[in-house]
Amino acid sequence: MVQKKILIIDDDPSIIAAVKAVLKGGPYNVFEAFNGDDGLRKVVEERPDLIILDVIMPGKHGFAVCKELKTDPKYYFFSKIPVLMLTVYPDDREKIGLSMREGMEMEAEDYLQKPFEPDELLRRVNRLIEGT
Amino acid sequence: MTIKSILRNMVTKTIEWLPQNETDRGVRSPHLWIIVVLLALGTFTYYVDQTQLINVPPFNNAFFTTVHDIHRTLFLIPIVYAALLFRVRGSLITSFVFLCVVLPRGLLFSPYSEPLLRPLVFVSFAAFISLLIATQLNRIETETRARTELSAAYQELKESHQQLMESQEQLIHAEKLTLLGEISASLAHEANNPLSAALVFAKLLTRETTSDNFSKEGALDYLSQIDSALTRGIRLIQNFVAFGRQSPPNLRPVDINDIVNQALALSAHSAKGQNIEVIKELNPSLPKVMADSDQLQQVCINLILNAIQAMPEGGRLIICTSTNGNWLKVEVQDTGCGISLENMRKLFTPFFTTKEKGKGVGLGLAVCQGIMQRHQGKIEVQSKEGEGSTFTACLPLPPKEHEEKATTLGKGGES
Repeated sequence: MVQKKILIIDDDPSIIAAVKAVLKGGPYNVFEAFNGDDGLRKVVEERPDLIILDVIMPGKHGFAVCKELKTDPKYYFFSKIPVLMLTVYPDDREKIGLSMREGMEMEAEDYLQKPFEPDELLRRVNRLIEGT
Repeated sequence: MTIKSILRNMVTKTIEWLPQNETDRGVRSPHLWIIVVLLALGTFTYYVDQTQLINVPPFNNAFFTTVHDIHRTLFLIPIVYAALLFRVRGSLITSFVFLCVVLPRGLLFSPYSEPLLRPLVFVSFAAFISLLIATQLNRIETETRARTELSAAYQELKESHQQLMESQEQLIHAEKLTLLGEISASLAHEANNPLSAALVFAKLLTRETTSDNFSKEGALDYLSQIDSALTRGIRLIQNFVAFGRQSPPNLRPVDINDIVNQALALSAHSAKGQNIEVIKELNPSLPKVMADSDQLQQVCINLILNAIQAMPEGGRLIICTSTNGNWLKVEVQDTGCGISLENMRKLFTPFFTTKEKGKGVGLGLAVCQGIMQRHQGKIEVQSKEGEGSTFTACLPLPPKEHEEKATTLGKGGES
């Protein structure tokens, strides 16, 4: 079975460790980036099959990263990569001060609230990867 | 010194003994009747002796004729008494009564060629002495009253100053709580991460222990992950709690870089997700200064949060510490919207704010300035509209420090 590549973009090492621990059992090759710009560079370099993206990070926030990936022509060939956003509140967008329309534009494929059930994360990851 | 103090003591005692309030000095005062009786007695003995109107025993003996000069002097007693009690008014009236008593004798029965000279000398002497006493007593009394009032006013001033200091402390604490409110959302967010991770690891651990292929190493790995995540979460919360507690102002030698680092640890989370780059330029060889670390941390957090809020579109937040002349400086620089000239003047005015309703009441910078002034320091602002602002908190360097520096510089120059 071909190993699927998963990129985690999160500034918090403990969350990265937790996600990695959950995905450890599956056929996944997991690698990480600690901020948005680094993450986007790794998207281009590694072409992951799924991106798990945190919202609140130093520098660019998760929604900005997602929007850039989905709408910037530079990332045209990567715009179909599914994105799973990890949020603390369903309304992280409000904290960042985005309007509803902007929020819609940078819609990710799925959202998961922290703290998450390990099984739930696995299920969503599987569904997103199989969906492509 | 001692004689002076004894005299002062006597005067004070006398004043204390005298009737103190106005009703005691009125017409109904028993002292008035004592004076009248004394005057009547004086008049009686004076005429009995001097005029020999009643040349009858027991007044016609040698004693009364030899001590007759004393009778005039005896008049001094009611006059001085009246001066003590009724002051200028009393001394003038009793002197006038004395004059009325002695004038008829001088005019009608005087054996001397200048009949009015002696009575007038006596009366004016009595009037002079009594007026002197009256005016001096008035002066002393006014001075005493002024001194009591002054010390009462001083006490009041001291109390209200104390209250002011206390309310300033309360204001500083209230503003600190506002700051905590501002950073609490981002801190809670930040604390959620390690807690979420710990929870996930705990769940994985549960699954591991119930699964068939349980490995001790795997479980231990999960436990150490839980350990490190929880430690980080607790440290965040401890910082928060330590900053939130109300502590009395406490001057200790502090390292300004520690304070800046702590302030950043608490407030830099607010910059997350705002596309703000945080740059630290801390001079590692700064002298320690005497300061209240809590209050300075509060100033730093305030300036950092202001800088973050000035850059809604993102930007650079630069914090640097340095020394310049006699000052130790903490500079917080942003590349935000800047401050207009008009707002610049009102910047430190309490309740002045440009933030939206509910985002701040406009006490932050006023309180910061208060804190810096308590430390004999100051806050300076440089700003250009559209380019950003720099807030500099300046603390005076301990005098010993730059003396040393001066001597080393001097030596360097000589060699």
